[in-house]
Order: sequence, then C-alpha cells, then structure tokens
Amino acid sequence: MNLKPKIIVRNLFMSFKQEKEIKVLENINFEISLNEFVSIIGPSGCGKTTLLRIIAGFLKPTKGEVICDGTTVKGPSPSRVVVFQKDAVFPWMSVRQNVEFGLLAKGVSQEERTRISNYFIELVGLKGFEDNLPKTLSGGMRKRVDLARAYAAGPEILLMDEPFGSLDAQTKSKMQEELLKIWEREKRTILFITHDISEALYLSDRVIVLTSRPGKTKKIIKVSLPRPRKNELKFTPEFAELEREVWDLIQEKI
Amino acid sequence: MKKNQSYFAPQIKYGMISLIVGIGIYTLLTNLYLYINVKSIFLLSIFRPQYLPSPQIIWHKMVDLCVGRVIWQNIFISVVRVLLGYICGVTIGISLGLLMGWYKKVDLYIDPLIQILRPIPPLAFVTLFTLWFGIGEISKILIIMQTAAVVTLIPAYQGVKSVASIYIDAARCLGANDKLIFRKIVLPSAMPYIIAGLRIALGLCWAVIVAAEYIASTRGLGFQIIWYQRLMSIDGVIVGIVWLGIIVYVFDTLFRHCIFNPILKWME
Repeated sequence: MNLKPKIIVRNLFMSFKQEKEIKVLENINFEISLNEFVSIIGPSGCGKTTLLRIIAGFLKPTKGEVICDGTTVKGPSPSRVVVFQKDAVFPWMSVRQNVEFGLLAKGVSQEERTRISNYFIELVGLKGFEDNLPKTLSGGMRKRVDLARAYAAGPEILLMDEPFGSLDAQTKSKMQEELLKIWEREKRTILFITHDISEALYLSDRVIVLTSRPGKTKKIIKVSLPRPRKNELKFTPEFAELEREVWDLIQEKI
Repeated sequence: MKKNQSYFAPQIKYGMISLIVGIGIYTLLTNLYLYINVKSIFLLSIFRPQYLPSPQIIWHKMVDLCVGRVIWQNIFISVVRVLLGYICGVTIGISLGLLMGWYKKVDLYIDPLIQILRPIPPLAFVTLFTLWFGIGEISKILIIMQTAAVVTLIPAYQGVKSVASIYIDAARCLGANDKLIFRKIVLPSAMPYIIAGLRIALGLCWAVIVAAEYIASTRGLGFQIIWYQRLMSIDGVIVGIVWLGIIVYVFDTLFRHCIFNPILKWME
C-alpha cells in the first residue's frame, strides 16, 4: 500500500455560531491511505455529516485542516465527489445525462462521454435504462445512478454520506454488496459515513468511531475480515463479535 | 392504455350528459317566447331574443359571420397582438426574474421598481399608452407585453430561489462551474414555476386584450364585440364571446400539449 496517505485530517475543530457557540467537532485526527475503505460511525448528531462536508470542501473548519494529496482542501473539487444521503439524482435528466454530468463539466467530448458512461452504467447494473428518467426508477436504482455519476466524474476519493440510509433493509444490504463489488473492480479511496454498525464493519477496512457531540475520535478499529466479502459474512461469529465491540464503544458515556 | 381508457370513459360520459342537459334547458327557455308571453312573467322576462337569443339564432349569426371576412380579420388582429405581446413580454419577464434570482445585485437594484409597478393593474395604462402611442398596434402590444412580463417575472424569480441546495451541491462537487449550474440545474429546476407563470400569463393576456379593445380600439375581436353592443345586436356579442372562448381554449391546449407538458415530462 502507498505509504503517503491520501487524506489527512489534522487537528480539526468545528463549531457553529448561532445564539451561542455550538462545538460540533473537536480535535479530529486521522489518515486514510490510497484505495482504502474507511467508515465513520457515531451517535446521531455527533457531526459525521459536518466532517464529511468539511472534507468535501463545502464547509471551512474553525481550526485545523484537511489535506488531500498534499494540498489543503479549499473548496469542492471533482477529485472528491460526494454521494448524498438524500436523492440527489437530477430528475430532469435521463440516467445517461446524469452519469455524464461530471464529464460534461470537464468538457469531455460527446464520444468519450458516451464511452465512459456506458462503462459505469453497466458496472452499476443499469444497462438498458440509459434513457429512463429518474421518476421511472426505484430508490435503489436511483442510488445506482448516483454511484455511477460519482464514479464517472473520475474522482480519486468518494465521500459517501449515509448513501443507503433511506433505503429499505433488503435493498440496503443488496446495495452494500453491490458497492463492494464495484469497489473491487474500480478501486477508489472511500470515506463512508453511517450510523449502521453492521454496514460500517461489512464494508470497511477501518472504522472510525466518534463520540457524541462534540465529536472526537474515540477509537479506530481495524476490520481484518477477508475480502471479497459476501452478505453471509454478517452472520458469522467473528462479525458478531466486532459488532458487539463497536456497539459497546458507542453506548459508553464519553 | 387500458387504465387510461377506464379513467376517461366516465369523464366523457358525464361531460356529454351535462352538456346536453345544459344546452337543452337553455334551448327550451330561450324558445319559450314563441309560445307564451314571457314579458309578463317576472323571472322569465329575460328569456327574450333581445337579451338571450336561442342557440338557433346564435348559430345562424355564427355561420353568417363566418362567411364574411370581418370576423376573421378581427380574430387575426387580436391573435397577433396577443402572440407578439406575449412572446416579447414573457421573454423580458422571465429573463429579469431569472437574473434577479441568480444575481443578488440585480435583485437589489430592480426589485423596488418591480414592487412599485406590480400592484398596478395593466389596464390602468391603456389610456396612457393610447395617448402616447395612438390607438393602433403599438399601444395594444405594449399593454400585453407589460401584463405578460409582470405575471411571469415573480414565478421565474421564485423558481430560481427554490432550487434544492442538494442539486447545486451535487453539481458543484461534480466540477460544474456557475454557468453550467445555471443552465443544467437552476433553469430546469425552475421550469415548473416558470411554466405556471406562462400559463397564467396567457389567460390574463387574453383578458387584457379584450378589455383594451373594448376601451380604445378600431379593430380586433374585442372591438367587434363592443361594436355589436352599440348596435344592440346581442347575438353578435354572444358570437364574439363564443369565439373568444374557442380561441383561448385552443391556445391553452396547444401551449400545454406542445410546449409546457413536453418540458415538464420529467416531473412525477
């Protein structure tokens, strides 16, 4: 593995000023290596989404910095694409137009756009739906469009903010499996936010556990379960044990 | 397809029934004068050919007028006035609304002027425009332009303001610049609002042109109606009104099916 980390989060503090100052994140420190799959988990309201928005470049931290590929993050960039929790597929564009959006923004030629979008549409299993409008797709399929769109923009880092949070349990576990399959074929550095312990463990190489607000890094757990992982893994005793460990960590009072 | 048929069938059935019954009752009442002295009965005294002509009389007048050229000329003139004024007006209104929604500075400068102009009914300007530009086309088209611009501006502005921030965030992190975000995200997202404004404006433009032609005009469908009123020719007035109904209906349907619905086909 590459020795130089892909993402470095250093001494990060974040607070919002409303009537009084609300501390959201406090002294967050971690590093993520190239093509690593890392999840951030924590109780709701602990600032997970804020952390992701800072790394994406939508928010400026109060103190500290985020360094990607050696440069400090100053704003959003197509090298760090976000997959949102809410449905962010553009409803007025067909599946293909959605997937090609990042390429269009880059000024890629039509021919090349079609080639790349074909590849990623097939990768997420939406071949045959290229010309469909999002309203004709199910929630799970729209998430696939979102994934394909993020991938097609050519990012090195994918930031996922509870992307499967709004899906039903079955679709969710199917999408998790699918995401791993896609990631095995197209390795990228992925930072995945979730509040679902089994989801975090199932997907990730490492899980960063945050405390409740203000969020601090409580513990970083290495998940050394073998890959490729199948859904059955979730029913093994090793998995249950890890799940228990994280559960206890989150339950503990700071 | 099947679902559609079963949905429309009762609508057509009941629609036909209500039409036939309605016209039937009207025909009966308006023909009463042939058999009894309606003048002597208080509630029925309005059903006289001088006030409410029967469908046969209206139909005869309609056919009569269709043969001549005058009605067609007047329809043509009104349609041209509305179309020209509408197209220019909505272009100005929507562009301004979009600009104001997108650029804070433009909003701050122009909004006070709009707020002063907005509450004044467009027809209030008829006299002024007639004084300035005469009784001809320019004053009519200007009135329509003003109506269309004022009515479409606010929805376009609202449309830009109400774009979900998640779409803009998503587009920005996919690498889109402001120009692309405006073209591919803001504009389509504002379309439902813009089109609602366009539809309201179309109806209102027709209302305003007829009134404007009543007030100060020598041509147009509104003028023809007022002309028949001066002649005390009620059947002529009614034929004019029927024509208006037909034209506005055709306009609305055409615009909806050929322009509005295709643009909004992505909506749920």
